[in-house]
Amino acid sequence: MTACAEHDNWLRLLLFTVGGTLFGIDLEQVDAMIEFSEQEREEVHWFHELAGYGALDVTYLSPTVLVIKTGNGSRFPLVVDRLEDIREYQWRQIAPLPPLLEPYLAERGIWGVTPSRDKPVLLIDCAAYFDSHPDRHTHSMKE
Amino acid sequence: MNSGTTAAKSERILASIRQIQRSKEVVDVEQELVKLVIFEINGALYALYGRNVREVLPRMDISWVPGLPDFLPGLINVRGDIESVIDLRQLLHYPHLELKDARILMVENEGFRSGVLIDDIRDVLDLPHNVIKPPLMTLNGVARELVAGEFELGGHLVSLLDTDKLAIRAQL
Repeated sequence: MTACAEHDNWLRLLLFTVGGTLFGIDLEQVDAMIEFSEQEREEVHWFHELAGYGALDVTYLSPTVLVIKTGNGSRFPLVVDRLEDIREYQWRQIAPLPPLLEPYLAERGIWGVTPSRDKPVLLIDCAAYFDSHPDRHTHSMKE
Repeated sequence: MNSGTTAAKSERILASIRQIQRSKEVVDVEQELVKLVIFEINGALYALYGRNVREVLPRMDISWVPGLPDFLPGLINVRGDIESVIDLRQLLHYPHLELKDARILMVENEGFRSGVLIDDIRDVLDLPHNVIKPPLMTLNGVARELVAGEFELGGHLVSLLDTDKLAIRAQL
């Protein structure tokens, strides 16, 4: 495949917000979407902890569990807030992170950005994050 | 008419003119002008070289991004290009304030590009390069790291920031 043809490729993103910030995850990484139940509170990963919200108080108004499928076949339950949309973006519509921010965000799995409506969508690779931080994540799911 | 005397006089005149021209060139070199963008942060005046400031933007929505230090408040969308923003107030350890007149300078220098959030813009001036003096040794903290020189303007001290040092500091 040529570089030009690759630019014509499309990426399907699941868009969701957490604490007012808009994120997009490759839909291929999402194995399932499940309604959040309070009983599972201790058995899931919370997106704000993964993405480095720090001491910011994050309220989840419509929590949903995304089951993230990683490259090595593991599955992790990740709670995000409101699901916004599923959209397709051409690769050419995606920009790398501004160089100044890249060192801070790459380790969180945030790898790119694309404009959408009035605010940018931060693209996050949760599968790569879980694969590269096996020590931090114990709540994997059985097949 | 004594042609020898005339020639000597013309030579003297030419020599005098050349001398004036040479001294003018020296003055011109000394008066080499630099464009400076002068702005305010917490009541103090700072400047950047005009050649490093691509444009001055009005205050716009900054999209907050998790995982960044306080002096990087997030992203802005400049006509479809997503850019980072450095909050100079935070970087220089001034108290945080939301100012409606705040501006964003788009700063660019050898591969570095970012918005820089300032309180307000004061002026854009062409000043002789020789008015810029080395920074005072009494400067403290981050300001000492970032200031390339200082000059007086209307009785106020203006600190000239070094874009290279700003880029390095923001990436620490």
